[in-house]
Parts: sequence; structure tokens; C-alpha cells
Amino acid sequence: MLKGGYMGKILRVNLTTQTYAEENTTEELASNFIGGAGLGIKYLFDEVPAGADALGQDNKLIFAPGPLTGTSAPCASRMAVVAKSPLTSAVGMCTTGGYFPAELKFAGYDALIIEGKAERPVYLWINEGKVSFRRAEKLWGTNTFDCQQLIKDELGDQNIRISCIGPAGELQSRIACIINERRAAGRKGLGAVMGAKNLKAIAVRGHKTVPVACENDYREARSRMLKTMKESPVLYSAFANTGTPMVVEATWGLGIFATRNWSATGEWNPVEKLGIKANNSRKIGKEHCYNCPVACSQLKLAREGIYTGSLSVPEFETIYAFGGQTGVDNLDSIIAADRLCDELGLDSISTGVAIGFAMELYEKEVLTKNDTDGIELNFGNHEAMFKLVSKIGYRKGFGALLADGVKCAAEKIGGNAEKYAMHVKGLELPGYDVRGAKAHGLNYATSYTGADHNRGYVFQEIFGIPEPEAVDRFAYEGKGRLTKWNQDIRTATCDCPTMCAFLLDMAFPANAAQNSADMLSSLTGLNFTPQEIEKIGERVNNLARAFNVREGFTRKDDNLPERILTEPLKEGGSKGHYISRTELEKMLDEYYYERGWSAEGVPTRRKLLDLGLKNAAEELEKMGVL
Amino acid sequence: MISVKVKAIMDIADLFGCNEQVVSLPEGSKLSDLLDALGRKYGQAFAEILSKIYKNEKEKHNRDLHLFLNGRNIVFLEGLETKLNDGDELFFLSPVGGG
Repeated sequence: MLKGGYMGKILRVNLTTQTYAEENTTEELASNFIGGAGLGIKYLFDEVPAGADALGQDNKLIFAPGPLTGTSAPCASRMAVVAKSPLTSAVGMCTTGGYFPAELKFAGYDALIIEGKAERPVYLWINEGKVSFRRAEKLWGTNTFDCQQLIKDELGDQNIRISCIGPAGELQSRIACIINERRAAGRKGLGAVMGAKNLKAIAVRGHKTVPVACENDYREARSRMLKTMKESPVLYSAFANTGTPMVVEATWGLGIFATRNWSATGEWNPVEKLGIKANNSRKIGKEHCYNCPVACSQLKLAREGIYTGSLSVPEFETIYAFGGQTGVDNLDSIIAADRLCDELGLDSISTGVAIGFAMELYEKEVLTKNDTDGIELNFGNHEAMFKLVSKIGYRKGFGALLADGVKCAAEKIGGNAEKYAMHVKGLELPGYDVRGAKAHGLNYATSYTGADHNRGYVFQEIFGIPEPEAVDRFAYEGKGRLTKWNQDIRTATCDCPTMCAFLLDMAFPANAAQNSADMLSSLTGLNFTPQEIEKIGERVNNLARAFNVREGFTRKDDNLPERILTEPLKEGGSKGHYISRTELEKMLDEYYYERGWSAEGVPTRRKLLDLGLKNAAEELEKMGVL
Repeated sequence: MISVKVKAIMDIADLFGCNEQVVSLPEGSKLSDLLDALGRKYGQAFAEILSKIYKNEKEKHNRDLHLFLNGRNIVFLEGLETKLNDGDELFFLSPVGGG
């Protein structure tokens, strides 16, 4: 019997049969996987068969908050959303914040597992243990903001929390996301999985409270956590007032603000047009996630030209994708493109990277105006960039070519287009030019979700933080060990309990495992030591790797785009640097060694058994790879 | 004389009044000489930053302000004793987070 942190139930919904059932959250599951990403990946591995069509009936969509979610713990608002990714065919895992994750706990559930496919569009209404399947034909086609409002109105409760897809998800764009409030489970095309299931939205309401096992210990652990947050040199003093756009300036200084489809990084100074002051001049307020004392989301209003009146929260990655990547320095157009992505339910990173990719092909005359519906798709053309977002979201004209990401588009275009497609395993690259941050590159190459900064962010290289040790960002030696550490600690302390990952680098780079152990032990009554926390991170990363191996991924997929491996940066703070093929292979060797994997990147039987993953070992043995 | 480009962001850029500037120094100058030159130019306002830099240099465990010379964190060079060359680039990375 779980005493705290967990609601004790997992809700399983079958859209084909329109039935649902409750299952117990077991102590074994809690102790070994905590919750969030760990729980989601455990169910994904156990229940989605090898080779399943990511957009078919066999794929499952799992929403999993963690034990800390919905408690008084600061910055624990998040949940993992997990499915086999239609973009990468690997594990698709995103986290999202806001209020929906906590509401799912208040409704009584530690996770929601969605199976099958509805015959016609539906939305789920989960209300205090009652589940109903409601018709959604009239919602089909609505944008995500209107959809949320219409459901609240229909159900007569403005405090209902909703996760939903927009037109991009309905049209099964492989770069479609899932939106709750103004937050997104953004990457890996999870919105297409929802669309393929004919599931427009999930509405949740509940009034339960999350139990606490050891009140006094929990209160003390929470006080220590808040105190550490206050001691951060940046969290409240700067980040709370600027949010992630400060990273535009940092990456410019380091020469890694990826520019013009990664062809001109370091050759452009984005600080004046896209930096903190430009962002703050459009700022009209802030938004919090559930129980967050920081409120980093900066609401910005576009005030110029055709973009006037657009309101959104463009984060660093969106500014990179619609700014650096496309060479656009018009911040109002970026705000408007971000807003449009939220409305249509598109991942802003993948969308911007796809547009920048097309711009480079246009400039190289691989694509012409005949291909682009007459749009002059030069770098820096903000109106062209903005027009394309809508075309991608609705799969219209030239937009249809880009609506499944750059890997798919390059295959369709043919020739040497793949050379300019910036992705790993099909997932478009986030905004750090890894030629000047080599562990960050190794993380992109090895993350179980593809090129994903969030699965092992290398704050040591990007922010200079010397935890667990100072690292030279241009060196490749030692980066295997560092990458394993970053991936495991991020998984265990952020993606599973849950905790906002921004706290990891800004408040807990040195003691995240201890903080998680203290918070989780006191909350749940289970005994989590810092060592066990780190081991859980390793367990989850190994299970995710085993899923990918079962899907056919090998060492050759742990790769980086050709441009990263062959073109040194020409200007800026990382001038002359790149990751050579030899360096990547050496980093992979070290990484696999540190992980206890074979030279082919397959977890060994010994490693899997040591982590208690007997089932995974048996599955890989059946394949003949162990 | 040699010319060194100095780049800064956020609070330090506000103090400098720009993100980029070029500082001229005598041949053979070290990083500490460049910081002294900036100290003379910006006076008391820069003194607090200088004291933070010297404290970090002493403690070797810097969490809040990093100096990069030609892109490399100076902890992997000779620290403040690092010799400067014509065309070098120094970047002050103020505390940042949240990518």
C-alpha cells in the first residue's frame, strides 16, 4: 500500500471498445521507476509490440505525472507523455507543465493509458473517477485554444483542464504536438498519435488531494529545496524576469546560436533584435505552471505589421527555430509563428527547422518557386516563414512536404537533400550548435528520443557550471561519462518525480539526487537514497534503449548530421571547431563503455539484470542481439 | 599594440553599454592586464565584477561568472595569467540558465 505521493490508480482507456478500467499503482512500479517518464516507458516497453505502427491501433499513448506532481513541492507541475514516436519510430517522450498534470492527480490517477482507436472523433471526460466518451465531430478542425474553451463551455466548468490537438494532429503531421493550456508536449509527433486515435482532447477535473506519508520530513525537505532555489545566482534574480531568451545571448557569445540551417552559426549577432531587451519590450505579463514560485513564461505581444496582436510565449528554442534557423530577425513574426504553432498544434522547433531546411534548398536552387507555391523562400524572409507555418499545419501545398519533418522531406526531395536535413533519428536539432559543445552533440546522438536537448542537457558546456566537474566544451575526451551522468540525473530527478528541468542547472546542479531522495522519501514513505535515484535514471535510460534496439536501432543511428561532422564553424566564439567522425566514434566508444553496453550500443545481459530489467534482457535475447 | 575583442551580455553588457567592443593593449599583455584596463575604463561599477572574478580564480569552483578566451573557459587555459594575442576574443558569460 503506497502511503503518499501516489493516488494508487492508473486509468486504462480503450477507445476501440469505449471502455475503461482502473489498475493499482504498485509499490514495485513506484520503487523502480518513480513515475512520469519511468512509468510511461515501462508500460511502453511492456505493451507496445516491436514494429507496431506508431499511427496504428497497437500504439499506446501514456500520460504520466509523477508523485511530486500536484503536491506543495515547488516546480513539480509536470507530466511525461509517452508513445512510440511516428517521427522517429523510437521512444517518444515529452514532458509538459501547466495545470493538466496536477489535475490528473486530483482526479485520482497516477497515469492514463490510452489504447485503440475511436471509430469517430471523440474526447475523453475524466471527472472524479468517472470516464465518458463524448462526441467531438464539431470540435474537429478547431484550434487548440478554441477547443479548450468550447469543452469548458460544453461541460459547464471553467476550471476543467484539457490536453488536446489542433488541425496538425488531426491531419497526423509527424511534427504535431499536444497542447494543454499554453503548454506543449511538443516534440516527436505525439499529437499525430492522438489524431490517429481520433482523440481530439482529454478533459480532466478532480478534487482529491495528494497524500503525504511523512509530513514533518516532507516539510523540512521542501524548505531545504526552497532555500536552495533562493541561493541560485540566476533563478529569481534574472531568469524569473527574462525566461529562456537569455540563452539567445549566451549562445551568441559562445558562438553556438545555430543560424541559417546551421550554415552560418557565429556569423550573425542576434542580441539586438532577438535578445532580452527586444523580448522584454514586447512583454505584457508572466504565467506560472502549477505551484511554481518562479513564473518563467513571459507573455509577449507582437506590436508591428501583420503580426500585431499575436500573443505567445516564445522560448529560446522557438526563437532559434523561427529566428536563427531561418535567418529571420523580426521578433514579432516569431511571436506570431509561435502563436500559430500553438493554435495548430505544431512543434515549433521541428517546424522552424523544416522551414530553414527548405530555405537552404531554395537558396541552393534545389527547390524553386514552382515547388514552393510561388513563395520566395530566402533566408530572412519573415513573411515567407510565417506563411509556411500555416501551410505545414494544414498540410497544404508545399507545406505538406514539410509536415512530416526534415528526414521525410529529404527522402521525398531526393538528391543530396539529406545532407542539409538537420536531424538525428528523424528528430530535428534544437538550437545549440554542437560543434562548439561536444558532449551536447553526443547527447543529441545518443538520446533515446533523437536530437533532444531535454534528455541530457549539458549545462557544464553551455553555462560553464562545474558540476560534477568543469569541462572544456571543445574537448571530446570524458564526454561519454559526462553524457551518461547528464542523461541519468535528468531522467531521475526531473522526468520521473517530476521536477522542472530548469531547476537542475539553476538550483541543483550539485545535489539533485539528494534533493529528489529527500523529497520523494518523505512524500512517499518509500526509501529513496541518492544512489538509488541515480540508478533509477540509469534503469529508465536502459529500458528506453532496449525499446529502441528492439525496434531495430543500432550504433549507426547514434549519428550526427554530415554538416556537424565535416564543416568547421567559420566565425564567432567557436570558430574552427567541429565534431569529426573520429571524435564522434571515440565519444560513442566511451559512452557505451560507461553505460556497460556492447560496442554496438546494445545493453548487455549483465547490465540489464543488474538494473532489474529481466524482461528486457529476454526480449533482446529473443532477437538474438544479446 | 594588440587588439582584443570583448563581448558581454546582460548585466555586464549594460555596464559596458554594448555587447562588443575592441580594447587595445601593449604587446605581451595578459588577461589580468585586460581586466585592469576595463577596471580603469569603467571604474567602481566594474570593481564588483573584478572582485568576483578574482574570488572565482582563487576558489577554482565558479558557479556564477565565466570568462571564455577564444571560446575556451579560462580554467582550461592559464587563468588570468593567460597571455593575450592580437585578434583574441574575450567573452563574459553572466549567470544564465534554462535552455
